[in-house]
Amino acid sequence: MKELPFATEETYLRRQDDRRKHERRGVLSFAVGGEVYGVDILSIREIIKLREITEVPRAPRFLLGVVTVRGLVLPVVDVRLRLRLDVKPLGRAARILVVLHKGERYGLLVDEVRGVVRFADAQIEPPPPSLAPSEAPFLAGIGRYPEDGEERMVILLSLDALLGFDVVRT
Amino acid sequence: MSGEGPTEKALQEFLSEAQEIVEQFNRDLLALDEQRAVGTFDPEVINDAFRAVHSLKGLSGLFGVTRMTNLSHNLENLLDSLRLGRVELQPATLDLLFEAVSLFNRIVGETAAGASGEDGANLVEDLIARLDRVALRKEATPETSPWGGWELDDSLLSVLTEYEEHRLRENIKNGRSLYRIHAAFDLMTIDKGLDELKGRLKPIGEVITYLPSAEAANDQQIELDVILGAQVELRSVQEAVVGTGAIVALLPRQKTGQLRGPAAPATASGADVKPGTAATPATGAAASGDKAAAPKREREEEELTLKSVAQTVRVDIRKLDNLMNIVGELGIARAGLMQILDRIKADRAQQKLARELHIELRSLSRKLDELQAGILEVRMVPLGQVFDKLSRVVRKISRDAGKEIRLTVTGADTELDKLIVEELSDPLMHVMRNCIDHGIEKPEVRKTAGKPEAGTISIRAEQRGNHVVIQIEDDGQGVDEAKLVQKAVERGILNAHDARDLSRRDVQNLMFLPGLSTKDVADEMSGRGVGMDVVKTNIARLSGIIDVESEPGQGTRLTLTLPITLAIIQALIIRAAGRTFAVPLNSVLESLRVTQADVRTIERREVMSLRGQTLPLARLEKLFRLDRADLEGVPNKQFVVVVGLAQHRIGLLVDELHGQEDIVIKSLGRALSEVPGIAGATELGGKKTVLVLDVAQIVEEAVGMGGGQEAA
Repeated sequence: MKELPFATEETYLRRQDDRRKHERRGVLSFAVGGEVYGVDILSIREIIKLREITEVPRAPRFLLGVVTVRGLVLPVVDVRLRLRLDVKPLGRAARILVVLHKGERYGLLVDEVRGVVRFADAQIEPPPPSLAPSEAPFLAGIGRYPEDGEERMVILLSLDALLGFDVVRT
Repeated sequence: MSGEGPTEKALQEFLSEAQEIVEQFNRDLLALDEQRAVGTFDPEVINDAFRAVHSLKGLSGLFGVTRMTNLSHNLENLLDSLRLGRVELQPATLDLLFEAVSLFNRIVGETAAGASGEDGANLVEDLIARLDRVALRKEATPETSPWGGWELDDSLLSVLTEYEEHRLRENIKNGRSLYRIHAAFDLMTIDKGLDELKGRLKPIGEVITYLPSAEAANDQQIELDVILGAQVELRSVQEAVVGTGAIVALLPRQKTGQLRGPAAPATASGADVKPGTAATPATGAAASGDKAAAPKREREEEELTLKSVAQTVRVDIRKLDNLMNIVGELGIARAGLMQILDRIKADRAQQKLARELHIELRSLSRKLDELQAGILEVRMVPLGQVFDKLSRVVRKISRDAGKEIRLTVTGADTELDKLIVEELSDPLMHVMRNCIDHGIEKPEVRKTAGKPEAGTISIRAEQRGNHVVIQIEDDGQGVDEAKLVQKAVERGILNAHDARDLSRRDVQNLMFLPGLSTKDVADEMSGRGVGMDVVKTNIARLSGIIDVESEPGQGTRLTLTLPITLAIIQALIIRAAGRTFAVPLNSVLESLRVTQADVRTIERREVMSLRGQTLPLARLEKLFRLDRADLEGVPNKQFVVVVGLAQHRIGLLVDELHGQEDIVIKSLGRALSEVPGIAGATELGGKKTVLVLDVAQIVEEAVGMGGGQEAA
């Protein structure tokens, strides 16, 4: 029998390191107001069809209300209103993305889910200044990826900014 | 030893257990403090305290919290000396023990935070040094004739532990009579039998020891002699053990110049006693005594270490929340099944199936209700947990303030949901501080006012239906209403005109307004005001209400009304402005049908009269600024749901009533947790999410000063 080298902690860590370097980030891309945006796939818990949203009085306009998903009540943010985009009637493709952010679940209402794209950190650029200033605080960067021989791009949203609001008691 | 620390989970469990033991220890000390005032100590309490510290020592040793182990070890020495009567319990000693409680709490806190607590270590060293000084202080030598004329057999004395001997001495010193109770127990059930006998004797005296008797009738039985010290007549002891088959005898006393005869016991007084058997076994007991005593002591040791392994399970409250959620979802599933049942019932061909399903569903429902009640019960803890903490705080604050306070607590066994009890401790602490700092006068002042120098604060808790009412009353100087109004006007919270229209109750409730609670104002006002607004907010967060009544010069009473649980509640489902809401039933007083004609307007506010009283009305659509455009105006016929807690009540004008449901209130999440007027949400059948109204908040807004302040 041939002697096989035992894996040591060192070899294990080295392999992990290599993997990390080439690892490509998964981003869920979706359409909102005609643009393609994306958030880190790891923060997505599930994608649900549109259901009746119970409005919550005294909440900001972009907070549409709450829905119950698997026994948990979560607030739903209208991404279009949050990014101050035009609001058109929702179509059949509209979905609520359930995201987990800092231990809390939120729903993000989007026009349409596109799919998952992957790219390495190196393929992410800072957001260009030419974009609408109202959106600027919510942007984390621009990711470019090839598809069907064409280069496409996705605007990465920062959940920190998107969900960093407080409804204060008055 | 392996360098591995305890796991995070184990550490958490250790900390919570340690905290529980420290609380128990604190309770024992408070009991001792009370007993010190009366002058007699219950030896069991000292024993309990000793056991608590002993458990802490063992526990902390396991987890390598050396500071705690050292402190417990030295405390143990002191308590041992106390229980053996080597040291007398002085107020200063008690202070040291209370200091130990604070130090334990600090160590627990620091360990939880992962801090090593360098300066804490010095405190421990310091306290240990002082404890040792007390523990080593020997008492004067015991009196020369220790047995006070009681004729005690050497064979008995030789098997007593040091503690038992001390207790024997104490009983004699206090002039109690000594009895020997001879009882036979079945070998299999001796534990139960002995416990029962002890239980019967406890109310009349102290069981000093029990020894096996030599007169074993057969090998299925064990006969024991129990030595009891009691202040009562022989007859009372006999009555206490009636039906157990035990035989009571007074221990013989030395009569000078007379020889004692074994057949001449002092039992003759009781006609229905069998004399003869009673007082004789002493010599016999001696033979087996030595043998029996050894295992007995061993068992005592065992008891000390096993005590901490009680038959309880510590559970993270979040796990219970989770179970509660599941029960809530089962309830929704049940509602779904009920709807299916109704559909099957409608089909004539399926009557048999419908009946069967109906029966199954009913038993499912019943079990589900039991499950729900069971989980709710597990969450219940006695309010005593908070009250004990308060006693400690009161002791400390009153000392610092140089005031003497008597604290009386009733209803400590009233139970509330664990989460509510936890959240209560801060506001109650605040209230206590206010009572002492601003309510109770200095002893000199009280004396001139003809009051007893010691102020009294009484806390009373009781359950009233779905609520628990806690009243905190002091016999201090009361609220200075004139100054309160003056300050409110000065600060622009109130205009002078409105001020005149305020009822006394309204005036007293001004103390809860935030603007009136800064420190300098509070002092000047002689009222209490420091952070009473915070107290009110905290209570409101628990869906509770706080009320004040005060009589100048006589005292102040605060009344807190709280729901028993927040986890699952009954709710009235209503519709208003095209939306569905749930109103917690525990705050609904009644509901009635009204027409537009019943509603009147006074100063632009809608009211109606209900049994001769004016009831302010509120519309949710106005309060919440809901859009009513989609509806054809306000319907002529509406319902009024009268809601309120304590004396505050309003009528909510709603369009429809949809009956009652059991609901689990769920938080709206961090982002929406602060929306005023909304307590949470719940899921009704058909995946419908419905908001639950925060009645306390709504009532407050509706009756609030200067009209409802609505959120932007």
